[in-house]
Amino acid sequence: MSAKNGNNFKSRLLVVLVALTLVVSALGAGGGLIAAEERRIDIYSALRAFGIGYVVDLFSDEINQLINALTLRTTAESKQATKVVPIISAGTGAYVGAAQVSGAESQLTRVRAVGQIEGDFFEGAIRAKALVPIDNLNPLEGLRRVRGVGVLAVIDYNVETVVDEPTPSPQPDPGPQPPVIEPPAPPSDDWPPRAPIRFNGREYPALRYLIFAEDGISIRGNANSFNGDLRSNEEIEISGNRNRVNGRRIAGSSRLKLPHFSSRDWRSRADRVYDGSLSVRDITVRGITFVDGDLVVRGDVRGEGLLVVDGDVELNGKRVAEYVTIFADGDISIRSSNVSVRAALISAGGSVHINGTRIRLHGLIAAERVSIRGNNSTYEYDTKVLDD
Amino acid sequence: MRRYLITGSILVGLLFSSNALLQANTLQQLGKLFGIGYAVRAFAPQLNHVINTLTINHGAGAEEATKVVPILTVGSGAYIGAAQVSGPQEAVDRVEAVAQFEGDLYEGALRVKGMVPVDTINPTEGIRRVDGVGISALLDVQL
Repeated sequence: MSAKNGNNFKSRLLVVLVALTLVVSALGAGGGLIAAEERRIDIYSALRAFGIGYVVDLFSDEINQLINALTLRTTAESKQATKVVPIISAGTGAYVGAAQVSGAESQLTRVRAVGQIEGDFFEGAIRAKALVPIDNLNPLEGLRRVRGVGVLAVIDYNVETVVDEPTPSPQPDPGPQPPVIEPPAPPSDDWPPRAPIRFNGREYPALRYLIFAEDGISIRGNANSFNGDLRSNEEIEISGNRNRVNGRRIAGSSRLKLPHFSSRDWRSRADRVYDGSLSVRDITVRGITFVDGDLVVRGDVRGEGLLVVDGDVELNGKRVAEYVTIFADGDISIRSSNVSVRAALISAGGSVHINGTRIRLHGLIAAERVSIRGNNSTYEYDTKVLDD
Repeated sequence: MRRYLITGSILVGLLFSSNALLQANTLQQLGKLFGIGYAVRAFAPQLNHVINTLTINHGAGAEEATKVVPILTVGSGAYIGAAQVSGPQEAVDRVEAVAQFEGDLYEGALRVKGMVPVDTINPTEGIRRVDGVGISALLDVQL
C-alpha cells in the first residue's frame, strides 16, 4: 500500500471509528439521548441567564472532547493538549464566544481566554479578527499573549433560537450552584400574543412572521440581519458568518398555510388588469393591479396597494415598492444589490428568491420555499405593508 | 487555461499598486473572477502584514512565524474565507490551507467551527493535519 493510499485508508478508518464511538456514546453508558436533551436545556438556560463565560466554565471539558471528535483529533496524532476558553473582545471586554486552544501543556495551563481584536482593511474589503491566547480575563488591562498556543476551533452560540420542546423537568442541584432558570415556554401559534394579520379579509397566522415557508428556508451569506421571527413547516438552514436573527426560529412545528390564490377572484376585483405577461421599466400600483401572466420590472415598483400576478415576478430595480403587497401564484425574484424594499412578498404556489447584497427589506416574505443569498442585508418585519 | 494565466498575470501585476482602494477593488475582482482561494493566495503577504500590524498595535504581536492561507470546507472543498496561521517556521511553511469542520453541539445551542491546518488545498483527498500550528486570525473577504 503506497503512503498516499495508506493515509487515505487511515483517514477513512478514523471517521468510521469516531462515528461508531459517537453512536455508542449516545446510546450507552453516558446516559443516552435523555441526558443529552437535559444537558442541552441546562446549557440553553445557562446561556440565557449567565452567558457564554459561565457555560464554558462548567462544560469546557465536555465541549473540548466533542470538538476533538468533530475534527478527528486523537492524542495519538498530536503531542499538543487542547482546552476550551472564552473569547473576550479586546475592545469592549465582552464575552463573545469560546475557542479551543492548543499547545504544549506547560503553556496551555496559563491560557485563561482568547482576546479578540477586530479590524477592517482595504476599505472594508477585508474584516479581520485576530485571536490572541492570553493569561487573563480582562484584555482591557492589556493583552498578555501566551506564546506557543494557537486556536483550533471557534464556538458561537445563539440564545435567540427557540426550538419546540416539552417543558423540562427541574434539574437536580449538584451542590453550590446558581439557581436553575426554566427556559421560556415553547412557542405556539398564539405566542407572543399579537394583533391578527389579515389579508384579503381573512386572518393568516403564516403572515405573522418576517419569513415563512411551507417547505423550507435557506439563507446563505454573511453579515445579514433578520429582525423578526422565522418560521418553516420544514427546515430552516442558515449558513455563513455573522448572520443574526433577532427573533425566533421555529422549524418543523405545527403546519401553517399560505393564502390561497384564485385568478378569477382577483381579476374580478382588480382596478387595473393586464392580460398576458408584462415587461416594464417601472410600474405604479394603485388599489388592486392584476397581471394575468409573468411580470418583469426592470426599474421601480411604486405606489401603494396590491399587485397580484398569475405567474412569476422578477424585480430588477433599485427601489421595490412603497408599501405594496406583491401576491403571486409563481416565484418572486429579486436579483439586484443596494435595493430598498417595502413590501409583503407572498408567493402562494412558488418560491421567493432574493439574491443580492445590501438589500433593505421592510415587510415580510411568505412562500412555499424561501431562498436568500447575499451579504450585508437587513430584513425587518413590518405589517404596514399588507393591504387588506 | 493560457488565457486565464495571462489574464491572471495581468491582474496580479496590478496588485503592487500603492493605492489601498485599488488593492481592495483588485482583491474583490480577483475573488469574483477566480474565487476567494485565488484572491487570498495572491494577497497573502499583504494580509499577513496588516494582521501582524493590528496585533502589534495592541501590544500583542506574535513572535512565531505567521502566514495567511485560505479556509476551505471539508466535504465540498469550497473556499469560504482566510485565516492567519502561526507556529514554528518549518511547520507554518507546510501549511497550504485550513480545513473547516462545522457542527452543532447540544441541539444547536452551540455552533462549532473546527479549524485544522493542513498541507493540501484539496481536503477531499484526505486530511493531513500539520501539527504544532494554530489559527491566529480569521479573515472575512467581502466580494
